[in-house]
Amino acid sequence: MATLQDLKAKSNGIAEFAQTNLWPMVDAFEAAHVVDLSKMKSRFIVGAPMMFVGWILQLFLKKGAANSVPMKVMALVAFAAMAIGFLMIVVELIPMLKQAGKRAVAMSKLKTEIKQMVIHYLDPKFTLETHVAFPKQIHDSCGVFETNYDQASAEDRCRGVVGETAFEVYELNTNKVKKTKGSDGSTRTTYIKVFKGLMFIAEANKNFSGHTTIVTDKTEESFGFLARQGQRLMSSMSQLKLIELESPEFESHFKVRSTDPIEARYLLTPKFMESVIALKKKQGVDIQVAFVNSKVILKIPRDRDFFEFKGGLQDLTMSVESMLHDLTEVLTVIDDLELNNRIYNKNSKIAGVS
Amino acid sequence: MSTEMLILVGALVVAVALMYNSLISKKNEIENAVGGVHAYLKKRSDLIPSLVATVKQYAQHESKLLTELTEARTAAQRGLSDDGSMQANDSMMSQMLGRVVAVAENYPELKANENFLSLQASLNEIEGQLSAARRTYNAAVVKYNNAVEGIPTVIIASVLGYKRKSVFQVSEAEAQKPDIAKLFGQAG
Repeated sequence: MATLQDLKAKSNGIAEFAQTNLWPMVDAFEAAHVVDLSKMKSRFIVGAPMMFVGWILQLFLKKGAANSVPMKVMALVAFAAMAIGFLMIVVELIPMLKQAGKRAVAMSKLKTEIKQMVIHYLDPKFTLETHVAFPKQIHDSCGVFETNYDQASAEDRCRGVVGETAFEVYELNTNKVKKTKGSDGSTRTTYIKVFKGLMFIAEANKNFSGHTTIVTDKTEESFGFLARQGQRLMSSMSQLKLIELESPEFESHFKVRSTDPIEARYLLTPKFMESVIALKKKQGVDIQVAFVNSKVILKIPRDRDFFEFKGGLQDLTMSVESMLHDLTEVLTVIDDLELNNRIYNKNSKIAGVS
Repeated sequence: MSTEMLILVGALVVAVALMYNSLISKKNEIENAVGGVHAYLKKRSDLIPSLVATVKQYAQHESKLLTELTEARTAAQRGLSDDGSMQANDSMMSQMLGRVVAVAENYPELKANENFLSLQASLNEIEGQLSAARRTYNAAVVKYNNAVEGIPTVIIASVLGYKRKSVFQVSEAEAQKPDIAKLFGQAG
């Protein structure tokens, strides 16, 4: 299986791949889906002034038209000019809009095709599904995502194996929906973001007997000792008990809860704690981790779209470079958290006695 | 008795009950953690007969060391019921196992034996779990000691006869224990 280093090396050659394989597809697409604006332009040049002048004349002639026959005729002519101008534009606009609609559908298909090719270029065994069902069960049960949401969607599920670690990444969006009634009786819907970002799932090659979560500790940052006392109290009433670890730095960033304190400490070796802190600093976001069943699940908040085109087709090379950068950046967590080593490895003999 | 007095006495009783419960729960946490350490010590101890049998096939010159290991296992199993000797047994077994695995370096056939490699993997995993169990025990002891020595719980603790407990400490010899993975050149 490819290692992360192999994937990074491969991603360096994406510009060349784009040049030889992707640009010809884009060129073929552009040739097949030309939206001819020249006819529209000429019709618009004639039709728009006709409409405008007809409309202005209409306004002026309207008042006198009631008493005078010539004025009535002139008003009719002005109306006819306005109608002809309008028809000239509309007759050309309808096929043009149809053409543009077809182009948009074809472009979306092409972009999906290019994304698939990019993912297969990186590793032929990687798969990408652009439209996927929201993984509600794992999202809601892993303990690191907010479950108080009304609307949820998932896209761009990428799956594969790096080293010995099978992984899948989802781009998730969850929102609260707020409906308010206006004074006129109309209903206004507002979407409030609950989470936008990635859910990274790595197969741990090992079944965890307990459920352990590492979540960021905002309350302790703000309220210190009082927050810790509150957490202890809450923990005594919950199945997931608060686990206090030896590293003051780790404790200042995260709080750990687990149904199995020994397993939590087995997973959270001093080295692993350092890695999680380093990962949080490197990603610059509030990374959270869950160990449940046989999976290591990471919540990675992210405002930017994942594995998406950054602009139009003209920016193809930049877009595919950015897509691969997105993916390899996420996959570095496999190395950063040493998911290929130690307990996660089927052959755990490679690790030293801790 | 005035209402204020009743409230004060009531609050005092609740506070004493809370402190008492907190001390009991901390003591129970230690007992639970000791149970965890014992479970992993037993798990490690159960691997020793297979390890001895495998090493014996390839390293007949090490029979003295293997006999020592078997005797240490028997002694450790006897001592499992005694909390006081838990640390000593753990430390001794760790050292003995380290020595046995280290001698495998001199026997290439043993090093390559699949059964031995599998035992070594299991031992590494159990050592990791044991280390976690020790840390869990130490965390429970630190919480307990803080309560036993801190004000105001020290009063209840002295009435109950609770005394400070000692945490697991790595002996000097254990601290210098060789890294099994490095010995076998399998790291990475």
